Amino acid sequence: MIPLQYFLLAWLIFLVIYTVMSLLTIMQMVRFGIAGLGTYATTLLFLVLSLGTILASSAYFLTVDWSSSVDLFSGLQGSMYFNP
Amino acid sequence: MLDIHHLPGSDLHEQNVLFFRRHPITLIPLILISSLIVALPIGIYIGLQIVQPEFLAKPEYFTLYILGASIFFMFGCLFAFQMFVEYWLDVFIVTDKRILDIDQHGLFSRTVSELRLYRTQDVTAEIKGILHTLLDYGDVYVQTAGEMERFKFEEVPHPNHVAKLILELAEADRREHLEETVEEFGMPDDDDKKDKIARRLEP
Repeated sequence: MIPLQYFLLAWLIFLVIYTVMSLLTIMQMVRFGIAGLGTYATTLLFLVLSLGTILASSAYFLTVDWSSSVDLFSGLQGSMYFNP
Repeated sequence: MLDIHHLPGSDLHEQNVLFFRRHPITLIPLILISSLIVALPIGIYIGLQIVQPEFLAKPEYFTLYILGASIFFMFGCLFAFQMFVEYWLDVFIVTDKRILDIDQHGLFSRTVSELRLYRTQDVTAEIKGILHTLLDYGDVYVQTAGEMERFKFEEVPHPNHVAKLILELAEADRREHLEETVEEFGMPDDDDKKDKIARRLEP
């Protein structure tokens, strides 16, 4: 049984890596992009999608009981595609 | 940001004539990858509902699904955006004085090549393939006398029109830079032209 908190921690670590890489990408776009609507619009779209995903996920995560644990293989037992 | 109307190193009276990127058809791989990024988490959800409907009914497993799907979607979007940035920052600019070829390779590799128009020796347009012919896009090669002997504009729209325009601009720029042109390419063989040029070059 693996506590759900471990998965949340992994998610947070990935989120930090994602944030750093996103900032670098946006920095390059802003620095070298041709000033105009296309540059602004695409960068804004990326930011909206990223923030939207993070906020939507976080909103769900607030309702989760992180103290519970999960058995990764028990959920698949009994499935016709998983029968060890 | 790069201001198209105030390019670095531009002359006072320099005017932009052409500004273009690769043909949008080259974005098809990006569109396919973006579709996959959106479709895969949804597909997995539908697949799990079909194979084992009670799996996602458990809150722990649904939480795992949301954790995985959100990270996959975010990194997928980032990857797609980086591919788009590589396309967007790859630009070709033709002014009445020079040609600028800005090549973006990946995120942190950028090459800016500049050519004075009067140093252009030859311009070739190449369209190969059914799709290229139907959509009128291809490569333009600019033969120069400089360190980089051949500029290549890859997969640009209307390459024949671009090549013709560059030739016309190069011819006009050569007339303005007669001294440098004669030094570069030598006097013409035709006696009349030689006399005309000699008279123009006299102090």
